[in-house]
Amino acid sequence: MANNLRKYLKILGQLWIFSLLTSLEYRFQTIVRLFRMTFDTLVIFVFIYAFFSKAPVISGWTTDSILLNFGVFTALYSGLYVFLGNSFYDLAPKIRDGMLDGWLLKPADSQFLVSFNLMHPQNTIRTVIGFIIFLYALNRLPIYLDFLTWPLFIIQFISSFAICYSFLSIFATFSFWTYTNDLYALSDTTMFIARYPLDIFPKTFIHLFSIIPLIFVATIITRTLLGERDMLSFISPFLAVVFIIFSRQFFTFALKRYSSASS
Amino acid sequence: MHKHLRLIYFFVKTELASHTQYRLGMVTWIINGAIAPLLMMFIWLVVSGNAALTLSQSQIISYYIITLLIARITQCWSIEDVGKEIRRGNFSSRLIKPYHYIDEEWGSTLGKKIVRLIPLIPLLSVLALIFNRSLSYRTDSESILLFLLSLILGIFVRFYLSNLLAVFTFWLNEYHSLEFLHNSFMEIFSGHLLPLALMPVVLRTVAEVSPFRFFISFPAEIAIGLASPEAIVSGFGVGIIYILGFRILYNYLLTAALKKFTAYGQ
Repeated sequence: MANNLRKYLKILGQLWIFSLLTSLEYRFQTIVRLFRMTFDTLVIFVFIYAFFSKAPVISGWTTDSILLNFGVFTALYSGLYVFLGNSFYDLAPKIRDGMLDGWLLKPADSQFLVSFNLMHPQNTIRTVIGFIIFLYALNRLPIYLDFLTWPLFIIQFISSFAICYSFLSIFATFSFWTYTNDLYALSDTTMFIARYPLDIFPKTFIHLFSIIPLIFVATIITRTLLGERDMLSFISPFLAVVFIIFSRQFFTFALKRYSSASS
Repeated sequence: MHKHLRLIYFFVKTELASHTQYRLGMVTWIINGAIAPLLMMFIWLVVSGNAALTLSQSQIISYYIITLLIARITQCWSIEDVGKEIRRGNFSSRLIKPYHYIDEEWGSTLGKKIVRLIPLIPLLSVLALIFNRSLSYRTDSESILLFLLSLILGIFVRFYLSNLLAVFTFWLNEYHSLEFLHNSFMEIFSGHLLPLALMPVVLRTVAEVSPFRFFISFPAEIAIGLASPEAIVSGFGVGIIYILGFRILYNYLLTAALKKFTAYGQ
């Protein structure tokens, strides 16, 4: 198992270097992309400030706690996209053009290669900005600290990472039947709802966002830091395991049905 | 003129035939495009329940629902389409055709708009049913005419700006960066996510002089009666100046680019 882990970490490192070199091939594009990421993130920060500074408290959330939620989401989701990059967006064109076979024939796990073959190292800047916003908001808030807060926060953060990855992977896997990445694009857009604390929405939406597990992406994590724990606070690791298993089974099922376009 | 219209009509039909093979895509594009504005609408409604805003709840709902329609009508894909052709070396095949490639772009863009409007109509109908008591648009004939004219203005501004940016691919050898920049500024300054009336002052000032406001905000403000007569007149004036400016710059840069253009690729 340790050998396997070392092997996959090495492959991840190689894919990272490959993605970095590919992105540096077009330096102007890379600079513009970095600018865009910074600009977009800062503008959303300004928007959130514009929205929520007009009302001191909304459904129990202050401006600073909403910013904390945004910081958690940005750091987490951008961090995920450092590794995912365009890999899932590129899955449908690879299936259509028969280029997926080259990845399936390699001596490594297919889902791993499909998930991480086109990373976006540039997303690191967005992840860093997310952490800065997180620390800024954390500094302004009375954070509830007991022996459980930080361990629970770390477990929830890692679980949220796994839930996000699995959710996106499930929708990307539909490309094997649809030959387009439209459903994946839809799932990606849907995730951005978690940028805002979901408690501010009407009850029907909160229930819906618990089933589509958006509430576990950032809201539950932020609530933990603010000292608000309930049953949902302890569910995310189990949900992460369920989602990982399901995404794995679904991907394997899709691969069994896959017949190459090139052979 | 007749020849141009016939060409455009031909490419509209081609585009319709090409895109209707991905019927799921037609639906998911629309839902995808609706999520962000509807999310913003809900957030503003939540905020307005807790604080006084410069827009009423009715105006907020009316604004965001009409922007779903306006965004699809003014949308343009030329930066990617033309940029990709130049990048892959296929653009030379467009140059040897007995018509200007811009006619093909017009036809392609109009065709894609029609494809996307088809699934949008049921969504708008559902939203109109759900929010019918809150919707308030100007329905007098003058306002409807001004709204339609502002849509045409938005279509032309966005089309010529997109094609102008696409021409830079000749020098940059890639188009993604231009697309990123265009989309970044458009998301913010077009009023797609945030009505200009609710923006912080600095952002609003920049948005009001940018060409991006004609993509969405200007027609939306006319539709819900937010724009004063003076603002409408000056808006049309600025929009026409942008169209002429972009067209002149586009012609000049395209001529310069074709002088140094060498096709490469497969």
